[in-house]
Parts: sequence; structure tokens; C-alpha cells
Amino acid sequence: MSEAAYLPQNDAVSYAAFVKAEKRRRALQYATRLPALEKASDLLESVLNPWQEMTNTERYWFIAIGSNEGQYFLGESSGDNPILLRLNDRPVDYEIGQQQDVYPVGQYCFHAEHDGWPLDDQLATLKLWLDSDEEKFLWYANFTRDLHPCWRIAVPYEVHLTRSLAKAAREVNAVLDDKRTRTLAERIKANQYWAKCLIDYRRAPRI
Amino acid sequence: MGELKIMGRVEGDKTLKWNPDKPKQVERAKKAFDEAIAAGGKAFKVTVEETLKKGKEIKKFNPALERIIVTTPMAGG
Repeated sequence: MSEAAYLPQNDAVSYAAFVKAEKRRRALQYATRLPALEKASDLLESVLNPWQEMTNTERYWFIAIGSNEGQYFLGESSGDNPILLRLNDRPVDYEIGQQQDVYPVGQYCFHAEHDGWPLDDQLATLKLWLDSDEEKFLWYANFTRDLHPCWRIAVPYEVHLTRSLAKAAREVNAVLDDKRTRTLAERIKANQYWAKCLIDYRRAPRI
Repeated sequence: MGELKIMGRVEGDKTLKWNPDKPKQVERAKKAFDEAIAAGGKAFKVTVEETLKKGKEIKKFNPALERIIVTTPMAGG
């Protein structure tokens, strides 16, 4: 039963007219914004690395590595707002050799100053900020540990589920001389390992 | 050949290309760059090292750069 059924008749008529007008307004707004949205999508693709592009195309999120090697999960929150989560700093304890789970430790609030900017433009901007000067970014962005439970569950699941980081590991092997890249490659390898573990775990018969 | 992309909210990003040997084109790109920065945008040069694409903030227009992106003004919530 629609919401209009609960309203008095006169209100129901005006409500229906309002819904119709609102639908038309949104369709028109979308049609007007479509070229901007498409351009923003192309621009985002042009700044993403191959493994980021892959997860962004398939799952609408990507992981950015900051200039100080912090790991961030970037995606869509609601509408045109980006979600920016900080992932745990030391996903692999190299000293003990223990694999640890990847999980978000908090959320940053950092978005376009004015409403109406395409989401992909904002994501591209965030990626470039993190590439350029992570410290400055952390200074500007507002951090909170109050994270909605859905992100706590969804992020590790999504990160584990994708195998696209494996492709990235192969591609960055060419630039292993650089210290930062080597660290990145190690992390990607670890991600690949987790993905494999998870898939093997799911395949294993339940006793 | 250099390329400048200025993000736009309504009509999408605006692209300007220039040849470093042609002063008129360089001047046009520099003017657009300065206007975008004055409006609150932040400029990044995008470099590709092997397969890694990286952004680095720049304050001034440099015609020798291959790719510059002027991004939307951002704010912490």
C-alpha cells in the first residue's frame, strides 16, 4: 500500500501531484547533470591505478595509499557523499608473521565545500590529496571513531572478497626498487593471501 | 603537449591543452589556472611512474608539466 492511501483524499491528490512533480524534477536534474557525471567518472579513472580502477569498476570502491603509507577505503556513502575510512595501520605483523584481519578504525569527514559536486570528482580529489600530502590531509579532515556497524562488517568482507589486488601485485613488481613501492607490493601480496585464505575457508566442508 | 583539467560542478571538467613552444596557448592555460586557484581550487600534477599514477600538489603553473588537474574546493566536516 502506498503512502498516499493513508492520507485524506485531498491531501492524497496533492501528494500524488507532488510526487509526480518531484520525479520530473529529479529526472530533469539527472539529465542536466549527466555530462558532468560522465566526465567526472572519466577523470577519476584517469587518476586511479590499475588495481584501484578494477575495484572501482566492479565494486564502486578503492583503496588509496597515502604518502605516509596510511591505508584508506574510499567509496560512496549516500547520494553524492564520499565515504572515507581509515584501515588498520599494521594489517600484517611481519615480526611474528601472523596474519591479522583488515578492518576500518574510523571515518574521516572530508568532502566538497559546496553541494552538487559529482561523487567521482570528490573521490579523485581525495585520492590526489592522499598521494600528495597525507599529513596535510589528516590536519584538515575531521576524524571520528564512531563508525556505523555496517562499515565494520562490510569493509573487511569486501576487501577480502575481491581478488583484484592480485593483479596489482604483478603490475607493481616492475618498480620494486623504490622502497615505498616495495612496501606497497608486500601489502598487496598480503591482501592476496587473505583473499585466498578466505576463499579456501569458504570452500572447506563444514563439519 | 600539456593538458590542464579544471573540475566543474555543473558542466563537468574543462580541458585546456597547450604546446610549450606556443606562448599564446601557454598564456591562456596559465590564466585559466590562476582563475581556478583564486576560486578556491587545489592544483595537482599527475605523474606516471611505470604503472603508478601519483598526484603532487603544485602552487604555480608550470608549462613544462604534462598533466595538471585543478580539483574542487574541499572542507572537513
